[in-house]
Amino acid sequence: MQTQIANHFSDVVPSSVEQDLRARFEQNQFKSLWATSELLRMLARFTEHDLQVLPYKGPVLAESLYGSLAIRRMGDLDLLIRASDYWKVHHVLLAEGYQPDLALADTATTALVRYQCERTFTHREYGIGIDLHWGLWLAHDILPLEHLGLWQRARPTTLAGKSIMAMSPEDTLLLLAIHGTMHHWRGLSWLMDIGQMIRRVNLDWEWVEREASRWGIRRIVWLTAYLAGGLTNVELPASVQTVIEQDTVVTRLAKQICAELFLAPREVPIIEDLPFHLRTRERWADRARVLYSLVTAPSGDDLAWVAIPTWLFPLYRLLRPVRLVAKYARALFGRMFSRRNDHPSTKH
Amino acid sequence: MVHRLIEYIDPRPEHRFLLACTCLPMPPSAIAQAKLILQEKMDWAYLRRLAEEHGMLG
Repeated sequence: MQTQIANHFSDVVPSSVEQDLRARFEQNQFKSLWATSELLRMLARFTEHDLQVLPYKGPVLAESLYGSLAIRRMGDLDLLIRASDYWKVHHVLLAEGYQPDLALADTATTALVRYQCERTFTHREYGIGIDLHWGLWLAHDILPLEHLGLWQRARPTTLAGKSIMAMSPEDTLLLLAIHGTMHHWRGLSWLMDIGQMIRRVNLDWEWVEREASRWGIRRIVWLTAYLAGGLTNVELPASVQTVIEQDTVVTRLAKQICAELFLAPREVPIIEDLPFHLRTRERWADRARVLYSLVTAPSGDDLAWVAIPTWLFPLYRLLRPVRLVAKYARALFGRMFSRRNDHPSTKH
Repeated sequence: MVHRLIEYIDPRPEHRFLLACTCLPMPPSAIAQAKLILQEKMDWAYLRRLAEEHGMLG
């Protein structure tokens, strides 16, 4: 927004607002440059260890979509890895000064790699964060990255003048579609990225549709395209518009997202969120897997709750429902107990 | 398609201005539209907060 205001509206916007926005823009610019140099450093380290790590979002997307590192908000660095490479990447990160945000024993970490799909590391001195992904959240289900062919389709690109390997634009579109939909598109900048990608890149939509069908995310991709077309002023190809108009669920989901787009952010309880995510999936088998994973796939908290040996890992799927029942029963009893204490007749 | 979705957004000027800024570079029609929006009474603090929440400060 700062860029647009500086370019077109500086005569209309109060100077104090413009100065404030410029200061924030410059902060982000500094952070982006710093994050980019750290990304390039870490990618070089991974290459030295024969590890194929793909950057996702962050500086690569900023430079390819906007031609500038400063325009896109910079957060943690996101890196995609194969699950089978997890431990090698983990050790490289530790050697380079990073530590995991959630401390876990090695056996619990192995379970995390099996049942979860990401872990955050933070640099002890620089404070910069790296989010490692070996899978993608599809509500409570996980799409394992290793089997998607991302690495086979990766291509060289340049970042700050250096040559690196990055995902193809079509793969990037699919992953961004999943990410945004999982968060109900509560970030307009994510839709701006999609609009910008459709505007600037000659996407192979036939391939996108074929691959989205294989991944079971057709509806997620069409919802993404529909929102980008409807909100960021980008023209969708006629063939894409036709497919979207055939799926009335896509249009209903888009209307729901639009109605909630500018509501204040809040923590949405699972039970409230679940119907939305189930409707984003077009296959009954995927919906069933979302429900099964919700109830049985152990979270980081479950893994930290109890450590069990590797050969007993399948028991985690039984422990999670037990922990959830215990957690909600405790909360329920706690609420009932506090109500009794609050009641006038129970005082004294 | 564009108009159909915009109808479902809360039509405060801050929201419409932020949406107009999602196009980069802005085409002349979007610039003209945004200038009209800026003539309405804007809550700048709200716009800045929204831009921050939606990652649109760049």
